[in-house]
Amino acid sequence: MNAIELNHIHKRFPGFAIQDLSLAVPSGTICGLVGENGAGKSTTIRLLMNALRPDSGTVRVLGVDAASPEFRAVKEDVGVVLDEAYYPETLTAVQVGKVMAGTYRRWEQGTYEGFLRRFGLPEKKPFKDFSRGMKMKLAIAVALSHQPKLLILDEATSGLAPIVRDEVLEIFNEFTREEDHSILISSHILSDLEKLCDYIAFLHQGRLLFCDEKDQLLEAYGIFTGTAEQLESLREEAVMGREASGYGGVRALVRRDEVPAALELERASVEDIILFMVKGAK
Amino acid sequence: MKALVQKDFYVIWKQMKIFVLVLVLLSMVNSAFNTMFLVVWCSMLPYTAMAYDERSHWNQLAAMMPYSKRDIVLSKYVLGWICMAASGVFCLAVQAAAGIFSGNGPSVLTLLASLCLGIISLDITLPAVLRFGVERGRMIFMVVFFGVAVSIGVLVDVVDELPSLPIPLMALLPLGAAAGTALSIPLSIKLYQ
Repeated sequence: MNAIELNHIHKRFPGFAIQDLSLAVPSGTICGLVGENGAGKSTTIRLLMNALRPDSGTVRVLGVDAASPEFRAVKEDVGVVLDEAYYPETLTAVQVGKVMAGTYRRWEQGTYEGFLRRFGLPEKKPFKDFSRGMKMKLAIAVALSHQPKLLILDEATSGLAPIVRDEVLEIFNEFTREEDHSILISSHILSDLEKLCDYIAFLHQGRLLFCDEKDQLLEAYGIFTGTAEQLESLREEAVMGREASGYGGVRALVRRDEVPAALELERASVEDIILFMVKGAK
Repeated sequence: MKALVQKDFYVIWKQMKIFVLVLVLLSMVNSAFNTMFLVVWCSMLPYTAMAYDERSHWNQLAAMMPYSKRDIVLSKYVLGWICMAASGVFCLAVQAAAGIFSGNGPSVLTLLASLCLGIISLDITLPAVLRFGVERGRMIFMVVFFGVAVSIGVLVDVVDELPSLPIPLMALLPLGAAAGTALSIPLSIKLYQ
């Protein structure tokens, strides 16, 4: 079963549109949603949770149509962390816990308190005095404390110190050890996604350019470094994006299956692939 | 919905401390205007909670949680009703205690009229504030509040002569509050985004 299924979604806004977006995240996997600011990542998340209705197309989460009345019960199974949307600023972590206990039927106060201690979050400090990292940690603690089957995380690791980020990524990894647990995570920190994800989905200007298994993606592309003349000799379809490197040379992202096998290529990281593709698309 | 009302009480709690002080001071002066002013002022407390919600983009987060649109909208009405009822009961108690010494008992009729006016003002303003947000809805709120203030002025005169008024006239206020609420809640649910 797929944890998430978006089928031919169209959603038009003034000056921006999600166009024919189809995406499937298999149950038990972690999918990284990548894209520039304004690419449509947050809109996709809002569509997934039925906070926005698509103009056309269908959305299914954990096997249930997001437009159906039954979807409200599905929200019990989904933990969400949003970028730039928090709890009201006068609330403390203890008060957030009490409100969430009345919100989620399977709220686990012990788990929540455990995360507060693990993340070193003050219990009585108002939310407005929290740093961005602390706000994110509180949101993650809430998202993980009501026995979710799916986590939807929008920039959940940004603002966290590197050591804490690693700890949080480990928590997300632990979460997916249950075979029916899945994660959709959007992040600007592509190295985090490379560490964590099984699938990478790349949104660009409201269109999904690809959604592939990370390992396949890393095998499919390589980095060419050489002269402009050498690059020109390659087939046009092989070159996904290029940039000038020092001393008059060029670096380019190329498809391994479109270039001669003897050509020496560096390993491309997810960050290389995305950055070159954005440049190529422009 | 209980969790949403609880959240709003946590949010306005600091505001409430100043509010309770004003409540005590004004309640001690037994006048129809003070009672009406306090109750109608209480009907504005949901907007304080909504202003905090807007600042933290809470509504976007709430849309991800298992709350229905109806729960979110209704919680604002319930918050307003609870605040108005609490201030009304408080007013009544303080005025009854003060009446032991002054000999003037509290006016239950004035309080009921005040509650109805508070409910009507909430019924008129909440749909607009839920649709346009606290900032833009404030303009509408000012117009309505001005209307209510004028009504209070008129009613204060009327209330002083209540015993001679025919009962159906007083019955108009609760009827207006009930009809207003019956229309306002579905409208708010429709307008809330």
